Amino acid sequence: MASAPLTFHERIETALNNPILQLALDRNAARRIPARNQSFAELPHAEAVRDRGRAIRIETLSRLDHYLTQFADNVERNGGHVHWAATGEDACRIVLDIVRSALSSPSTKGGGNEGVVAKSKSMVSEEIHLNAALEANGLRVVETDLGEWIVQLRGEPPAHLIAPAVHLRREEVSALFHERFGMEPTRDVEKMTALAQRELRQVYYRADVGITGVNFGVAECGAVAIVTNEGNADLTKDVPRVHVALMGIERLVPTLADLEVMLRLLPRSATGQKLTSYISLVSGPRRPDEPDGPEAFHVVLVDNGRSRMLGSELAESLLCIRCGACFNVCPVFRELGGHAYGTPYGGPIGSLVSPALFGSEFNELAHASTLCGACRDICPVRIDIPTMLLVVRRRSVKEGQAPLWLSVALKVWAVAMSSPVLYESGRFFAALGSSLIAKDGQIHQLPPPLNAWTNRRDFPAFPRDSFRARWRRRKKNGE
Amino acid sequence: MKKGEMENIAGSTPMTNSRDAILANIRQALAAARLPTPPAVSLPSAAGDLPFAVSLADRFAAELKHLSGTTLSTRPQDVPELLLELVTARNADTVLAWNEEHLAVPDALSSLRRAGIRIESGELPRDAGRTEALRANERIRVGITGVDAALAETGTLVVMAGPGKPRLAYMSVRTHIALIRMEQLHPSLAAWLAACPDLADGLRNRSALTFISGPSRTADIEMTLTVGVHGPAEVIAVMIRDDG
Repeated sequence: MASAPLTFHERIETALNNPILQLALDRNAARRIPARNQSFAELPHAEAVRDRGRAIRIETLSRLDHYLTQFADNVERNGGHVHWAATGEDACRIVLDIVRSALSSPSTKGGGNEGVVAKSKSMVSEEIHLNAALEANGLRVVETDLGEWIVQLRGEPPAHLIAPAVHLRREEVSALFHERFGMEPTRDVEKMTALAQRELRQVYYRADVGITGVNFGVAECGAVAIVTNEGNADLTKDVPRVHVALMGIERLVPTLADLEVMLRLLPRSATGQKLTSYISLVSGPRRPDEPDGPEAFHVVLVDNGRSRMLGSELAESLLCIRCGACFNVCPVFRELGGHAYGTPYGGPIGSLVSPALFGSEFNELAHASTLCGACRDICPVRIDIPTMLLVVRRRSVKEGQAPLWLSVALKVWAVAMSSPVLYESGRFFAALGSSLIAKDGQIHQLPPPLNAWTNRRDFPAFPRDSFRARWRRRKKNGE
Repeated sequence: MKKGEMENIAGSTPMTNSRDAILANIRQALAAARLPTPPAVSLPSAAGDLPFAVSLADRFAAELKHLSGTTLSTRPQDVPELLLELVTARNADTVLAWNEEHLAVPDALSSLRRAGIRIESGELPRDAGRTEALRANERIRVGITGVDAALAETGTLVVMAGPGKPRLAYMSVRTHIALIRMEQLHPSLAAWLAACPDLADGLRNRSALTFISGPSRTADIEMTLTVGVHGPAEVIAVMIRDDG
């Protein structure tokens, strides 16, 4: 995977020319969207719940310093440790220190102590390249979410917020398991899942540290909520001696009652479920009288650009609860899949989050949108994604990222549009020209570079009569 | 408890400094932030919500069935025999169980004990031997627990960590059997939270609270639904009728 980095356009071409990916993306959309719509149709007061969820997230962000302090104090009161990471590198270093300390502790003697880290899905860890940082220091990091484990074994990044292996067929998974574990090739998904269960169970037992993400931190009680269907986060946090929870500083709600509202929205938006199979609140380490659970609990609060984003025009995208609904509904994501975006945060919301967190080189993602607004309509907290995509586009023009031909073409266009004579003559030649190459009113093939359009769709021929000509005729006829 | 070790971790990162710096950045951002106006909306109170056409128990059973779980219903005095039946049907000679005081009825495990089934408490050593203890429990395929509550709207079991309540009894086994008393049933998560105003305080003394809705499931390979990937493949709720 370490070949020369492809440009966004090259990645798009690769995605469009991958028939397996196209089929998988169509299936994903065809299944997820009706499931999501059905579950919201059955939710009492659904629109009011969405408004309430939006209000909770806005309230949290508008007093983020207060809620973060309250949350951190409560985690510590519960016996947990809070670490503040201004950057991704800080966060990686903090986690590495925790793991090293767990390994050097004499009390682990006879335990795992092999430098194995079990990990459940965490977008923040992808964002800060945590696995690479830990592996560079001789640790073995194993993803325990089935899809995430599969893409990790393949050396790929995840392709979707909640369905990391959405781009793979069962044959590819079977071939992978055959190669890595000597499994008989099979089409039986249950057999593949059983193999994953066996392999990963040993990982939990051997791991010295378990690392999870966080869906919501609850300020009033210093607990973190972790939402999964597989139960892998539960085993990751409960079995190893040390649990590290990695969270973005914005990922908070004030109260348990607020958490409940968000839990009405998150699983429904993500998978169409009322609740996922497992939702766990972690409120500190194993207590003296408890029979199991981690001996130490650490929360790593990651800023990494979020506080800067909060003061920017893209602040509203911090409301995101990472459900992935905007991915499923987006006509562009549906063609590209996650890898083409070239960042852990792709899709509509990622086209805002990536430039906001990682810088202007990701501005180009905001152009991969039709601005159709489906993302805003489906977003459980009604984030106005299209308007902010325009903000990013404006930035990219201001920063001189727009190609030269575009600014020249727009200047020509502006001159033509403000002169009736130029406009009319331009229209006349366009109509004449297009009538020569059109068939049944459609242009099927244009010469380069215009064939970039006609390779995939037709272009309607210009009508012989302009609207203005028809309008004049209509007036003459005295209507 | 390894106090020195923890302080080392804290001391190795510039904790206070980065905390202050991040909070200062947030305050500065908030001074300039143009966040949207929050919609003014209040939700109907949880207590009055969800008037079910059927009883809570029926709704719970229907929801759990939809999630490929099972609900059985029994009288209190029949619980020990029912458990023995369920355990022997799964060829298990050992179970991982919560302490009997948390198992909804007295002597719930008595028939298992009489039949010579081993009952493990799942207590993990704090220091050395943790991995060995986990491996020893790995072959236990059946877990028996009570619940702290059950939620009808979603077929959910609510379990809070605590003494005599090992979480591996509902996470590391193939079959999870949960005993539920009728009065532990609540209409929904919202209603249960409303009925537990002290929960935030209660969590101070407990390490975890888990909501379990059906068996462990995944759809990560070709969106094909498969149960039992990490947690139990089988969730059996035993509803205890008190009608004699």
